[in-house]
Amino acid sequence: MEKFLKQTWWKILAIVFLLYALIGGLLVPLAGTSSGLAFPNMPILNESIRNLLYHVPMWFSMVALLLVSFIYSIQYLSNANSTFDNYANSFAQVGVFFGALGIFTGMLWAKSTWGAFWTNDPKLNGAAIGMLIYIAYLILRSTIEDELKRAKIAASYNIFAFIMYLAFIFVIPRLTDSLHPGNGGNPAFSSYDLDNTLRLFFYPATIGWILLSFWIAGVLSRTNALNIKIDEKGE
Amino acid sequence: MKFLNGILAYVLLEFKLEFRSKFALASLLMYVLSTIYLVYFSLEYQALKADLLPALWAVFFWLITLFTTVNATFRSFSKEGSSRMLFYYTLLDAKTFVLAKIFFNAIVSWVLSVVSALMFIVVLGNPIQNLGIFFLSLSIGTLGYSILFTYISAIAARSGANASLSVILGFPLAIPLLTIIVKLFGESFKTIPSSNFDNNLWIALAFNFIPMLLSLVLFPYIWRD
Repeated sequence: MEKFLKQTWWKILAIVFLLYALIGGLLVPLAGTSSGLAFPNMPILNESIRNLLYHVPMWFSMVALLLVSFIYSIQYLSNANSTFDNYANSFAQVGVFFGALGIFTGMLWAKSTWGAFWTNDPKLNGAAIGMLIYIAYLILRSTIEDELKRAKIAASYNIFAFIMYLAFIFVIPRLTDSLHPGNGGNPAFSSYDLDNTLRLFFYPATIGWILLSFWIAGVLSRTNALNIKIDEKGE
Repeated sequence: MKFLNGILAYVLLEFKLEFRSKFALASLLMYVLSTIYLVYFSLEYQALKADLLPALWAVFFWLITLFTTVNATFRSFSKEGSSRMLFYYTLLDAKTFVLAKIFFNAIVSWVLSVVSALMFIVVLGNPIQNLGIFFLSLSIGTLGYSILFTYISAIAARSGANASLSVILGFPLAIPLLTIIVKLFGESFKTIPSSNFDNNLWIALAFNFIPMLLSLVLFPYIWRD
């Protein structure tokens, strides 16, 4: 991972994919307004269908970041190397940031389509609980002074919380209905919303955002490592 | 066998220590009773008590049980000085210790929840129709809370913070169990349970089993210094 984070090719790929998806996502007209390439024109969604290229990749990025954080926490417990702890911390921090972006883009979208910023929806509740868990993780880190102790305790909380969160995400949607596509009688995006034109932009956008989030996490892990070094010199 | 004996010995030791200090359990009991009285009073003056929905009964009951369990489990770790922890460390292995702690905390919070259920019945009326489901959901719920918060309290106590950290760390993780247990518990208000009772029961058991397994795997890492 360390080597991968320092390579350049995927950062260029991230920029290219994101520029392509963002510019294309704004320029392609809705179906019915012109001939040629067009996004589907859905009754309630209308133009807001373009938010798909922002809202959904935020969640994919968050899940990817938290997964990496989880894997580094396991690695830290098997081999107490402070680099692993630094990665686990940095990826979780950026994961919380992307989760917040996912919530905000979702709230705007919900307001324009469902009429309210917040609904009692299992996916919304799942997202909110995930944010609470990882903010708690960051608070836990800030309460422990001793570095080795902090790394070990934070890693064991991270592993515990991630698996509990996964179990929760699998179970809760089975208890109630959701307004999200593919739940409770709502059609899934894959059935007709996510048509081939949208896919042309959605997949690059997803890959682009995930790569960008890893890039941010990589930069953050380097600044975090530098801050630790500065603290050590100060002492 | 040696494993079970170790757990039993530790649980007995905990109870002996509890009963030696007179105010330990009494303070927890007071915590429960005064919280319930607070709920009763605030409902009384809103004139809501008369038509208190059974669902509200269940939600209040489980929230109070949640807070009680957090307090009880956190106390069971914070009262251990570092020298006593070192003593246990030389005597027991981590799995025995965490299982014994879970059983001790589960027994304490089960007793406290039964007491608070009685108090609820006295002040807020009795909506319970099916005693079997009532005790089943009570046992699964308190055991699940105890498992979760034994691990979380161990983390919070090791980080040197107060009980509020275990609330911050544990409550988001307790939400799934709380949701399902309130659903399950609500079935005890009907004479015949609804069709998805079994389904919810399995989910509730899964939310006991998963944190139990995780605690057994992860506890050795947090109690070593």
